[in-house]
Amino acid sequence: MEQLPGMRPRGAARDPMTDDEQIRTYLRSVQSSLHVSRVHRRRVLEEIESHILDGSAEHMLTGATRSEAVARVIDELGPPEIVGMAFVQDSSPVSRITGVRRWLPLVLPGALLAMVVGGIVWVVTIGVRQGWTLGSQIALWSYVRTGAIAALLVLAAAFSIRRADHDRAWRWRAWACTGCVVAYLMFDLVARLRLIVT
Amino acid sequence: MRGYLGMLLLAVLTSGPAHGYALSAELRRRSNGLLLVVEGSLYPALHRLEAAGLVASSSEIIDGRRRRLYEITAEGKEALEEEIRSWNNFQACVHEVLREIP
Repeated sequence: MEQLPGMRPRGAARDPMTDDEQIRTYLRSVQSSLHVSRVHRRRVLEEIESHILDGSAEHMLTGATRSEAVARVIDELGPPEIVGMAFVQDSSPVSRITGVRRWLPLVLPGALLAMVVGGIVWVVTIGVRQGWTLGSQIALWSYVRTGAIAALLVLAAAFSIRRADHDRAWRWRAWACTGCVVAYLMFDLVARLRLIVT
Repeated sequence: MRGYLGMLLLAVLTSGPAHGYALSAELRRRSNGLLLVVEGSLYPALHRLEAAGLVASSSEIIDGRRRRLYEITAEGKEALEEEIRSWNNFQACVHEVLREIP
């Protein structure tokens, strides 16, 4: 097999590469054969880098120089193209939540956004047909503000759901967006009730 | 080796949560250095176990860098017991066959 740039055969004389350069070169070579999603790739590269740093720290305790220690751990990990390909063969996402359930945290933020967009269309239609009153301008501003918040929550929930495919800890962040919508609606409801009461 | 790597990783994780390098070091230690795990195959195996719900992972920042800790789940413990039973049966079968060598 053709040698990847920056890699050397085992036992060959070492290039005068710094330790960090060795690590970077190895990670770059792994990355080039790692055809998985961006999020998964980042996780894999972080884990391998962490492995090299942990391993070299342990080898240094036995008297190896940092350079020797890094080279040893890299040798133990194996050829970078094989490491990368092993992940490609097992590239199934970490999360087992699939189908409709996967997107459940997006329902409430999405519903709020849809309602607000409907409200904006309605206010603009009334405003254009019957003229812009102070009331319709205030309503439009209120809808735009709520729409901006809902759009942000939709984006945050979608991002968290995608991250949760590779890191389950992100799942609760996706649900936190639903929590934010509930909190916002409660806050809005309380504000409206106060207005009615006063 | 690949067929047993999952079981071995689950077995090591029963001692408590660990990150990738600690797992490979523990495998080496417990096998007196005889078990030659290609360390690059360790993480795909861990990801497979996580996808199957047998281990869970969490990411934390230690000494300024992100590290991922793996721990066995309740499902993982059940799967390990099943794997051990199956391994013992296999071992007993092989033993029976070898016993009759004249």
